[in-house]
Amino acid sequence: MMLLSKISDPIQYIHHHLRHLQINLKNLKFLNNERIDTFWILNFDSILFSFILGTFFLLFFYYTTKFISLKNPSKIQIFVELIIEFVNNNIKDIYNTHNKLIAALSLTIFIWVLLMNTMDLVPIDIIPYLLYVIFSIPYFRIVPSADINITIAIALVVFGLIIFYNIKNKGFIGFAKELTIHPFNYYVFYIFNLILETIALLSKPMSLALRLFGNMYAGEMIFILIAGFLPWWLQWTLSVPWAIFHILIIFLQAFIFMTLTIVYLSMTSKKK
Amino acid sequence: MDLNATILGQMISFIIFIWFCMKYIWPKLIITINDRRDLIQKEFANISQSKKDIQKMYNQANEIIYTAKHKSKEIIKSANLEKIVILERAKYYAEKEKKKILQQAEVTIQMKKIQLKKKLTKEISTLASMMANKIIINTIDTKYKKHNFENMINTF
Repeated sequence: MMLLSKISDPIQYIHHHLRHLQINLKNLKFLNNERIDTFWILNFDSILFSFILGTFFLLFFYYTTKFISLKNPSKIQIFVELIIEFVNNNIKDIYNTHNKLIAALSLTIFIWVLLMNTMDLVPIDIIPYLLYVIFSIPYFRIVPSADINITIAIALVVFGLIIFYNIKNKGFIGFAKELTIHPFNYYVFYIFNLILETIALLSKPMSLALRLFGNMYAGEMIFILIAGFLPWWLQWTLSVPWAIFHILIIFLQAFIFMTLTIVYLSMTSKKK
Repeated sequence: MDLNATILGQMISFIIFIWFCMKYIWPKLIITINDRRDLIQKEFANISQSKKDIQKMYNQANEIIYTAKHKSKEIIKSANLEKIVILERAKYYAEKEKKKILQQAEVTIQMKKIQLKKKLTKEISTLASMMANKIIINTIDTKYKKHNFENMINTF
C-alpha cells in the first residue's frame, strides 16, 4: 500500500522510479528511503541486472560455441557469426591489426551495452511491481545503463586499457613525452601541454560514460514521465512511438560505445 | 550523480566478462568463421570449376551434336542417292521382268490360241463328220423307207 500511495502522486512516482535498490556495504543492509553519504554503497538492482544480462550474453555465445558446425550451421550459430563478423569488421576497419583482447572487449561492450539498453523497452512498472508484490522490495530500476556508476565503470576499464596500451606501445617515456610535448614542443609550454593532453585523455572515458548514461537516462525519464502523467489507457499513444524511436537509440548507443572504444585504443598504437 | 561502489563491482564483472569472452568465446568463433569462410570459398571455387566443366562439356556436346548432325546429313544424302540407285535398279529389273512376263504371256497366249484353234478345228471337224453322218443316215433311211414302202406296196 505504501508503494501505491506513493505512485498516486506523479512527482513522488518519478522520484520513486529514479531510486535504486541500494545496499550499504559497511553493514550489508538494504537502504530504505534514507540517504547515506558514503562511497561504500552498492546499487544492487543495476549490478544484479547487468550481471544477469552479461551472464546471459556469455552463456548464449558459449552455448553456441559448443554446438558449432562447419557444414550445417544452426540459425543461432549464423546469428552469432553475423554479430562476430560485424564486430570484427569494425575492428579491422579501425584497428588494422588483430588483437584478441580488443576483439573480446569490443564484443562484450557491444552486446552487453545493447542488452542493458534493451531493458528500457520493458514496461517500466512490471518488474518493480512484481518484486514489490513478491519480495516487498520498495525500489528497483531495471535499466543498468541508465545508472552513471555502470557506464563510468565500463568507461574506466576502457580508460585503463588506453593507458596500458599507450605505455605498452610507446613506452612510459614515450607516453609521458606525448603528454608534455604536444601540441607546443617548447619547454615553456610543457605544463600547459600536460594540462591540455590530460584533459583530452580524461575526456575520452568521460564522454563515453556520459553519452551512454545521458541517452539512456533521458529515455527512461521520458518513459517514466509518460507513465507518471498520463492515465494508463492513454499511455500507449506516447510510449509506443517513443519505444519505436528508442530502439534506434538503444542500438546506436551500443554501437557508438564499441566504435569509440576501438578508435581510442587504435590511437594508442599511432605516434603523433 | 551518486558515485558509489557500484563502479568497482561493475568494473570487476566487466573484466571477468572480457576475460571469459577472450578465453572461451572469441577465439573459437573467429576460428569457426574463418574455417567456414575457407570452406565457402572452396565450395565457390568448386562451383566455378564445375561451371567451367559444365561449359566445356556443353561445348563438347554441341560439337558432338554438330558433327552428328553433319554426319546424319551426309548419311541422309548418301541414303537418298542409294535410294535413287536402288529405285532405278528396281525399275530396270521390274521393266525387264515385265518384258519377260509379257513375252511369256504372249507365248502362252499364242500357244493357247493354237491349242484353241486345234481344238476348235477338231470340234468343227467332229461336228461336220457328225452332221455328214446324220445326213447320210437320213438319206439312207429315206431311201430304205421308200424302197420298203414300194416293196410293201408291191407285195400287196
